Amino acid sequence: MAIKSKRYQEARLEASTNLELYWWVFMRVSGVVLVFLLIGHMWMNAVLVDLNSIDYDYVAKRLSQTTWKVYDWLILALALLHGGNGLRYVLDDWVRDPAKRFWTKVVIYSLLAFLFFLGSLSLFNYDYGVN
Amino acid sequence: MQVTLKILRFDPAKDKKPRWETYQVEAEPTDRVLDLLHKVKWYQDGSLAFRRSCGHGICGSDAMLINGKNRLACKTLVKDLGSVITVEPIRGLPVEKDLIVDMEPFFAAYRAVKPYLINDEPPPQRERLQSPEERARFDQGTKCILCASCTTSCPVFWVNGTYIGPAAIVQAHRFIFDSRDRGKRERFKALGSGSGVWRCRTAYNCTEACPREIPVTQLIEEVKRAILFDSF
Amino acid sequence: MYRGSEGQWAFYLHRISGIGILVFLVLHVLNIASAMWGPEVSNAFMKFYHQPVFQLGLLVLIAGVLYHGFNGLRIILMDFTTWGVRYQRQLWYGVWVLFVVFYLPFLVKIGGGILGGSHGD
Repeated sequence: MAIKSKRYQEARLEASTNLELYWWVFMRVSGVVLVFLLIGHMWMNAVLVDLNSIDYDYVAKRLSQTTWKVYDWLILALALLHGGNGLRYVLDDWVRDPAKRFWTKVVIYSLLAFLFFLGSLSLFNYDYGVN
Repeated sequence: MQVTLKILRFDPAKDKKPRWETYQVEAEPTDRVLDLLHKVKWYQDGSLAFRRSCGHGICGSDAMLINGKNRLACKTLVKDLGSVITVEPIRGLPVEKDLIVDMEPFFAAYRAVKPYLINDEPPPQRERLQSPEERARFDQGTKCILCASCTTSCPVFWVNGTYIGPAAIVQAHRFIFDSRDRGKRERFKALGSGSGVWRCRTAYNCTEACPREIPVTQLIEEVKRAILFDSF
Repeated sequence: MYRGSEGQWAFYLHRISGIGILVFLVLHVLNIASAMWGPEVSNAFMKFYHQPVFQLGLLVLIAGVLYHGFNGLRIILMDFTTWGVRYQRQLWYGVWVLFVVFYLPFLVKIGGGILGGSHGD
């Protein structure tokens, strides 16, 4: 195929990878998993217990069990990826200025990466003195 | 009946921003919006600019944003709109004057999907035969008149205009599902990029806007599935 | 405003709820992660978030999660079945039925807590 692009941006659009397809599939797969994980998560922590009784001890007790560590980490990882990509869709659709779009993405991806690091750390690296 | 016609006008020589202009027009309930625009242009204000050609819903020239929805001015009757009618140019394409927009980005997207039969196999003695079922498979896409009603009704298209748009995907569908065509991979390339079919968020404005009643979203989803099954 | 019908509003609501959930996720992870700094810091955060305003916010959030989730299932049906697009409108009403069914327990429990003046102390 002849190269027709005049600018880098056009070349990038023309270059075909399956990346967008993979993200599209990921959004659907992670979405289905998240629906069930989140309804379970909300049910356990907002309907089965009084929300207002939640304090350090409750969190410590819950997160010292491996099941909930894994359960919550799965939510963390999938939700950040799903949400991060969703936000990328929004920015691509609705931010007009390319420079602004780029820097917003840089800031948001950094924030989400930091959040993933922080969340994972608090889930796995501490037993909150329970054990 | 008396109709209040509000038109969003823009004169690049004078205006910085589009402005609303109001006209009082005498109309029959069975008049079309196109007739009202004619009455304004011919008897009230000759500077009003809009495109129209056949006036019978087949050339696809007069797609406009009428009372908040994309429609063809020549297929929309006054009695279906009421006595206050607003007319704006279709969104997401640069306005040249009044209701006339620059259609070039729209046609560029159309050309990107290679809207022509691709088949390098040596042609058979007589013709490339096709069963009625095979012909019916892509029938809906053939009804498209390239009026841009669908593409310019899409919330993803409005702001950046980089999305290839429903019309181009419908055109791609017309050839991808044609049993005689061998060019689907080339079209998948244009459709699989960051500005391609994966940016469809299924808002259904396109399906509702289509004056030819093409189930646009249905065709887009079929193209998505075709690419999906081709890649995995 | 473009006068789209159900499909357009389903899309806009999906976007807004998605962004809302992401914002909440940031606050929520920061809140839970504060446990790393010990009970004093953590409990101070918790108490702060137990104010009625945030509980109302939580009700909005749960509504957002339920809508986003169920509408997401609708989108998946449209993407992977041959009939999903044709019945997208009915599917959307189905989303709202599921939404109400699942939202009621949360509304009763958390809403009751707010009206009952429970602040966790």
